[in-house]
Amino acid sequence: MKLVIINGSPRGKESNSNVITNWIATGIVKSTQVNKISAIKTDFQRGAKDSTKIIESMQLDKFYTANINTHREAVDSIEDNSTVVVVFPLYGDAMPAITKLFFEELEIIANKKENVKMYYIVHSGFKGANHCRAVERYLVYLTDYLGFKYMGTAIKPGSEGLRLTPVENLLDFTNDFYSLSKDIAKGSDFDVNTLKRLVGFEFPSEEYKIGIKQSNGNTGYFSRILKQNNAFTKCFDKPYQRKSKKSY
Amino acid sequence: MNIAIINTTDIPLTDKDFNNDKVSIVNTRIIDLKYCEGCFECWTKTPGLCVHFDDMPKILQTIMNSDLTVYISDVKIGFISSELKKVLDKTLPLMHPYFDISHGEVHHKARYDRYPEIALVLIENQEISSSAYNIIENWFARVSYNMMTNVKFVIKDDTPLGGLKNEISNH
Repeated sequence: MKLVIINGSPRGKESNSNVITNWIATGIVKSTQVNKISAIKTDFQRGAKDSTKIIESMQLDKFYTANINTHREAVDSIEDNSTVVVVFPLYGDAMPAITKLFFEELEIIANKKENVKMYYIVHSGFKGANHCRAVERYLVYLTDYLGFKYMGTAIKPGSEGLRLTPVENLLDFTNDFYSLSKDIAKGSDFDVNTLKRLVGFEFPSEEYKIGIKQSNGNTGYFSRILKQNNAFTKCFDKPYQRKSKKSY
Repeated sequence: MNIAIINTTDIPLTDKDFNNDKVSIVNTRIIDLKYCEGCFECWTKTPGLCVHFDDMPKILQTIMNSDLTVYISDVKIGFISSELKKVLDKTLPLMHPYFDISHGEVHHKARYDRYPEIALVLIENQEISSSAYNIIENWFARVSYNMMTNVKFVIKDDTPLGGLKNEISNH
């Protein structure tokens, strides 16, 4: 099995996507009952591309779309019978531009590879999976366009700050991502129940929305960082306020 | 009505193409635009301003001066181009990090009192399938929710100018 993991976050290694890709890789190792987790983690700290031979029959390559110079190498890494896992954060209710650029690079192998399986994991800081549904539809289209096999999209809302959260507070998440890893290792579609657990809900509850209104949309997270940066007083600045055409 | 045209194709447009002093054009392929790095410092360090210097401020000011912003994009593998996505990703500082409720969903709060309506011109380098068109149209509606505005029109054309001129004269 050739496994290609694509971290589609512009933040590269300092990203929530990297936390998820490491869970996926670790889960696949567990699924294959080979205890080389530490070796993988070490390898993933290296350069733009990480490559690890987990067992004789499995090769794992990992790429970061944030590094444009490796896009072509990532495309070349996809062979017949490869399994590809693409993980990205939601930007403007779709993939980040840098990851769209990578998708455009994939066009050169469209309908030229046999039995390539595509799994996607999309995570978002918003509460509710609805923000991710539009891009999910595109991922189905993209996979078909490329002539690959669509194996599912896992959606994880509320992911902002994941990489800063203590591991012990994330056990439910990690278990769900390990479950997804088992599906990937088996070559089966993502399990529907795992997908439902990750999603949680499509739209936030009425209570949450009332809370947002009552707090003026301030959940505390961004205010805290603004204050740390001595930028809170500028919080509502409008630097691009409308000007007459002559003045710009 | 002030109209901003953000042309992300590699066919440059000029003022002469419209002969209308209410139209402002930015050709993104001939300016310096970096990718959004997702650092959020436009929210948390320099509110409303990207900390990475490039020509995006010109686009943001052009957008905010307009009543209607028209984005022009090639269609690549069934979606808008990465070039237009790059521009849209970098409109993040126009919004506020706090949250608000819009269309029954949680979105980031408006930083400004008003935003221009938005429109999209899709360039058909090859025929756009109806399913791809529907996916893009559906997604672009979501862009309007995020930007606290409305979609004025989405059209497909084989050049950046033909259908757009008609739409502009209609509005």
